[in-house]
Amino acid sequence: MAKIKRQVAMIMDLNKCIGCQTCTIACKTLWTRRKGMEHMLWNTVNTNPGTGTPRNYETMGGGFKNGAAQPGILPNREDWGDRFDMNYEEVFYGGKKGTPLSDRKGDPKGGANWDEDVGEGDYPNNYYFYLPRICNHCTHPACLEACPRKAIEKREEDGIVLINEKKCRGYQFCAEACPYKKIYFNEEEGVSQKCIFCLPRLQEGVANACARQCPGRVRFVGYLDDEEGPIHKLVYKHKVALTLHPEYGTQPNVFYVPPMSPPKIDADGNPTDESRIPPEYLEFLFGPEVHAVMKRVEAERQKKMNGEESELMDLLISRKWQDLFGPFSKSPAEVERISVANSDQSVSVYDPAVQYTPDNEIHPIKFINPMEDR
Amino acid sequence: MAVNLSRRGFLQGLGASTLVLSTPSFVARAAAAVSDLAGLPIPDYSAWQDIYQTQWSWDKIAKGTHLINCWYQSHCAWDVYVKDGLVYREEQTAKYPQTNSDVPDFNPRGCQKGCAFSNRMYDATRVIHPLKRVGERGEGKWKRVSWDEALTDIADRYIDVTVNEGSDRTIWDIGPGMDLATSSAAVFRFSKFTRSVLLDMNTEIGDGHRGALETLGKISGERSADDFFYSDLILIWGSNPIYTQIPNAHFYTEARYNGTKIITISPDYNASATKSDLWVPVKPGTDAALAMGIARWLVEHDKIDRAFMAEQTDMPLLVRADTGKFLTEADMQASGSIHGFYLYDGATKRLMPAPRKNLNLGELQPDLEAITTVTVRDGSEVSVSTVFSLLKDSLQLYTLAHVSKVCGTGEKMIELMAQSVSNSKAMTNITSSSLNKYFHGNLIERAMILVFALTGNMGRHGAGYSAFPFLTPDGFEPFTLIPDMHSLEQFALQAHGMVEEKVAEGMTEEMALYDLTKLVFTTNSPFPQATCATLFWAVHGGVKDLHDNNWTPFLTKPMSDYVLDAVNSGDQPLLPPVGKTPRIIFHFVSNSLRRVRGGDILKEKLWPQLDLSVVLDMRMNTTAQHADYFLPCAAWYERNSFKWVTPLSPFLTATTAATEPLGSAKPDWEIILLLSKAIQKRAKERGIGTVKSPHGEDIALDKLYDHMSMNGAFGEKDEEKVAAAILQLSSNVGDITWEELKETGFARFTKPGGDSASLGNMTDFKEGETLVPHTHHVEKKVPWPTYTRRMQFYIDQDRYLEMGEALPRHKDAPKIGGNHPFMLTGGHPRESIHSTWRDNPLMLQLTRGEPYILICPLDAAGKGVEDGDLLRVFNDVGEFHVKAKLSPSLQPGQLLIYHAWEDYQFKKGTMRNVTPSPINPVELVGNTGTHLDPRFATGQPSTFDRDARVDVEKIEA
Repeated sequence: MAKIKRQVAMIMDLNKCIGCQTCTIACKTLWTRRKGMEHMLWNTVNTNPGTGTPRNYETMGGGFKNGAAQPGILPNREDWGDRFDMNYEEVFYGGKKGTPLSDRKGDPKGGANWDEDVGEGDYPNNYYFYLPRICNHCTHPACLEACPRKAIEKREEDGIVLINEKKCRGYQFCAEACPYKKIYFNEEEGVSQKCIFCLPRLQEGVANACARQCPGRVRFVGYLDDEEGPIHKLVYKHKVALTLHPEYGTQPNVFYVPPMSPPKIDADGNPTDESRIPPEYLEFLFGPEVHAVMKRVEAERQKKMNGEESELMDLLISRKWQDLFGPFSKSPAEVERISVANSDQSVSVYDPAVQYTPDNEIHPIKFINPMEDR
Repeated sequence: MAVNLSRRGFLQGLGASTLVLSTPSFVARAAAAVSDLAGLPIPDYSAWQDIYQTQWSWDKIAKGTHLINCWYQSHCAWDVYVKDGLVYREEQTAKYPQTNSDVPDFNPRGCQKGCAFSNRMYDATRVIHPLKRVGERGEGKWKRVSWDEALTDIADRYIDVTVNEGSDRTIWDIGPGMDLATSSAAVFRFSKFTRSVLLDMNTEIGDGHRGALETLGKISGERSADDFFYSDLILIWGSNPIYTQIPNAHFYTEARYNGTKIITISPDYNASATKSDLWVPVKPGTDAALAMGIARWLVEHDKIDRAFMAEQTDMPLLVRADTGKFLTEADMQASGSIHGFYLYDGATKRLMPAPRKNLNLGELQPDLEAITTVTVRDGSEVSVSTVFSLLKDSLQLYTLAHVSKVCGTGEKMIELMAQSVSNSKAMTNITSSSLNKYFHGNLIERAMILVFALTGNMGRHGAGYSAFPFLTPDGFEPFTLIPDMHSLEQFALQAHGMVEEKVAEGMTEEMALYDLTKLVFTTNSPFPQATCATLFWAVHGGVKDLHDNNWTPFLTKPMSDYVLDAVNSGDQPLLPPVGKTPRIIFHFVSNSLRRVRGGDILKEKLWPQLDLSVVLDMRMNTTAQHADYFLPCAAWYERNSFKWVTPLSPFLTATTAATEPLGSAKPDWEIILLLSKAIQKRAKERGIGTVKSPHGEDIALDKLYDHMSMNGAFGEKDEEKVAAAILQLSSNVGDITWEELKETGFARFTKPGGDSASLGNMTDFKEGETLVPHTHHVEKKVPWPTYTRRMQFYIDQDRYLEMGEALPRHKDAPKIGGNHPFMLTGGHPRESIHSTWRDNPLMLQLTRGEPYILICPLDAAGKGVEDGDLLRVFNDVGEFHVKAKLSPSLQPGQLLIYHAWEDYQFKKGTMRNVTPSPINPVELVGNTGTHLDPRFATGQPSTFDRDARVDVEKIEA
């Protein structure tokens, strides 16, 4: 395992996640715009219980058991949920009245958020909540160990796990090994790609796009060892933030505050004392400590209802939005980032195989019908 | 599990059969090779990161927002990043201040849709050049034309219609694009000078809040979203804010941590219910019964705020037993006012006039339960009783057992909700326009407000009922209505004079303003010309032809007779009059063929009569497909303007031109001014000067551009100047200038201002305090704008008495569409505001890519339907085809389809084919001299599409 000086971490409060997918789009418009990245959603938000994205990722193996690497399989393109290829030009300009808008590949049978708001259970006791996921930048990353070219590194200064896209030869062992299935493959560039924890932003003191752009104020970002920060307090002091599937053995650095839910309803239509989300399901996701966490959060909330103080509740409320981001509270608008085209500065040597130019970036403007010939 | 053998499948086979991840032999060979290279300089592989480093770069940042009708949370402040002359992406500005240290700040705001506008404005639906239809309407055969060609042709046809048939044959569907800023300034001024007709679409779009109008005398009044932090009980009732109020949702989830209790009442276990402490299921459309049940419980357990009721509501007012009408001064004295009412003073044991100028009771102690006899003017003895005693009688029906039966809700559940309400010190609701889309939505809303009134939950921090949130810079009205800037003072004096005249007659200032807005429906007024959109589509669009059936048991004549009677008598004005056909419709960022309930009837009945249908918009859509011309508007990041907002986020937010408009797209103001210019030019060339409207008004066609532009002061290129002028004329946004607003992107409103809809908030905005609506009524005792001057629960108008709706009550929904087993409910989606993002690739990627209807697994099994099957949804009125999505959130008997799918997203038909939206006769009253009469944005009939009856069957794809 790499020797890490500091570890950045993220906490996602599932009591605040409203499944709006702003984080997904924020990441998408920032990083996954190049050819071969159309289907990539480095950040996903899924309805749980559900198959997740990629579909059924929890059955695809990977990770470690008692320290031993576990075999894993790769999701296919359908599991990931591809981008639909809609026939806009035909519908609007094809000259045939009543042409319906449809996917050129055939009616969709799956997608990245296919089972949105379905969940499990029967009316009136069904249950669901939203689970946002990014790469966990694990302390014991299975992806790093699986790569024979050592193309994956874990940074000393902050613990961010990065795939070196120049070293990568696209074997995808990393993708098989990751038990969270957060590594995508770019067929155009022939390399694996995944969440970079917005490293360029963090280097400028700006929080990750998924965190900063979240209107629900769901995500905390900071260093695990910062004792004054909310991350440390929520994980170690109040102990209300847990990792997803700790049994995967990779020691993720993304944590979750588990979700409350309204009570179940009995056959007469009256509320019971049981919470809707079965404790077993929460334990399946977050491990056995989740039960104590739920009690702790409830007890602290009750204090507030009684008019008493609660540091935990105030931390979770975070009245000042900036407090969510610790040292990364700068606005990107305050940072100078002149684009290459207009920059006087010379840039580092590019690998010719993976060169950044405006051309290999899919700017959606290319799809506008110029109406030249009509 | 799918094993992908085409990709190094043998490795997976290896992996599956061993317990460790074995490395292939070529890797071992490579490792050996690497060690051979030990000692040689290691290449620097860090350059790969430059891709990401340089991706996150930009040339400039401009402030932007999305001038769309996301209503409650509009508008969010964004930083728009520009690279190589194109919008690259956007990120929230997130510089909102914290109101005070008690409450969370507003940051960051913004949602996934705003985040995707940089994608939307460049996707395949964008149209950037003027288009002229060359095939049949709807065929999709277009030819690109120049602006000059398009506008000249439109001008000529407009002149023909105006001269030969009338000025009121040209219609503007102003729809959700209405910004009450530069776009509206252009189109309202156009209407003012040409008397062409604006469709007042508030009740048609479904945001009428009829019940609030009936009870409060107005629909406006909302708090700031951070004020929810002061509630100890939040009711999410007929609302799904987790879907539809994304930027403000954090206030509730955070309030929850702060000890606030949240109760969601809805038929289905919707996303908002998942964030609640209690979910109360109800059968769709039965919410009035639940509210009445809670009211009964509160009265029975004496958990009511009698002082509040006595002062602020009509509960103490006396009603005649013989006529069912209020006892009035006219009953008691010669030349007495019909709007002078009485109460029974418990202190002096006497009949006393109810206070009028101010609600302060002084020494009076109204007896809420008084039943007595009075001698009226002609000498006869009449029995009278208070509204409250009548209410108590009617509440007897709503026992826990009865409500449980009607709503399908457990008795203990109802009681628990009632207890929560009674234990709460500050209860509020999260506003929404869902319940007023049920046929008896007015009754539902009245019953809900009753619960708030009985417990005194109005006009305080964290406490109150909100219906329709609105807040807009009040400089819009003067800018729009003046001939030119020199006339400002004269205009202000005139406007002030008109208000003072009505105040002298006894109205409050608020009532006077509302009364003035009735003028938009009259001819020969200084205002732009408007008409009720619901009635326009019903009468001229043919929608009323769908309504003559026996769905509604209370009718004594065909539905269309109610409509025609109302229109012909002038109770509900209509332009053009019955029998005069509209000829031109301009759809201004408004998608009427997609929106108007009734489906294809418009295309069958009205469109063939139209000489010209012109769409002004950014994107191709259903209405555009059937248009004759498409005039491309600049996208929001390509122009300079702002739009009305709401007190929920009381910040005026600017959008600025981050880039030039794409192609030949033009800002809204420019397009309308160029149209006026073309009309003026062609009129002169054709020797046409001033013409008369059918109502005798002068229309100077040969001076139209001069008037529109204030003699060149605000020419076509001056949209930004118009924005600056409106801002400068506004009294309610502090001192900020347009230049400053462009820098910061937003500015906080300092007061509600003089616009009639914003004034309805009737409160003061205090520094360092969250906003609370209706404090002027509750604290300063300013009368409510109803005819009893109070929150009014008893409506003694004839039609209400006839329909049995004098008091709030539950009524079963009529079987709209016929006797079919399912009720088709609806909602606004998460991933689009109306149709604006409906067919955007990113949004489709995050849903199912096409429309779907929600059905519960039990009902699906009964119909042999599986997830993803194609269904035929039908009733007596129409049908459409749509895919099924099974959801255990839905209750048996309930179907749900989210709105605003474009017609072309359905394989066959459209969802509006099954929602004919019959009109509710109580909403057709007019000429009552009360707050129920039609005026701008309210007092007009609503449309309903949440309680149509349908059946489904599985069909082959």
